[in-house]
Amino acid sequence: MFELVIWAEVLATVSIALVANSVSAIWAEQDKKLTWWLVAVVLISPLVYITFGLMTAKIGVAIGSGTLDSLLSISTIAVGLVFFKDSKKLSRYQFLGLYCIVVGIICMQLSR
Amino acid sequence: MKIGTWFLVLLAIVVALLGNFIAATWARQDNLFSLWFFALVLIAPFVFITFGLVTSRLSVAIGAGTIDSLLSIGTILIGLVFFNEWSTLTIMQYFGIIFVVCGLIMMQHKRTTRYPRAHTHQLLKVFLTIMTTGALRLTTDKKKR
Repeated sequence: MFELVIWAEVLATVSIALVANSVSAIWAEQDKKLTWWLVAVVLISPLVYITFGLMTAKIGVAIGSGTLDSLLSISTIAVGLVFFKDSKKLSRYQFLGLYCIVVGIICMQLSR
Repeated sequence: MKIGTWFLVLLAIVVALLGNFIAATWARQDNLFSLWFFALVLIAPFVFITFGLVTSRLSVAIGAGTIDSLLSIGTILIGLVFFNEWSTLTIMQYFGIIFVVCGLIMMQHKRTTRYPRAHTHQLLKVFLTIMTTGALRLTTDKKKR
């Protein structure tokens, strides 16, 4: 039960960071920079670091940052490919490069 | 990638590293409403603003892949160079670095470039040769220990 709660908290932390990444990407796509999206970025970004800080304090910096960072990297790449339609813009070599990067991040983060 | 974009990537990584450092320091304090908290609230928007600016130039997937992978390598390199943690470098981390650098080289080929240029193949070959020699030395060193 305790482990289930921890995983739920990890999922919530990664989700908040993923929303922040997506909001900042949407903000940067606009021609006009002083929009409500900028207000959303300013409001949500401290929340990301607060939840990350609290999670790493709870489960340890090495395991915490390793798990959270790798989950966030992979989910942001997936969101980019699916929701931002990046898959249409990328070449085969860039796809292969992304695959190598995902494998590399997992190797580096999970062996900390 | 243009030099201006690489500069933006570097800026995003430096700001994110600073953010990570402040967040880790803040979370260790007994008093959560310390000066570190205000530093965290101040730096956090800049992390996401620089991230957004990179993704607007590279696309979300490539931008996130580049920044996150270089952040991971940067953290490991800080440990190796500044904290002299060469003996703690694992084989998995070493292979992780190889994968990430190969991935970064491959990601430079946009859709308009039909075939990778010859110098990229050479760059990949030289890099892989150096890293394979290093990996062999690392494994023999660990076996000796």
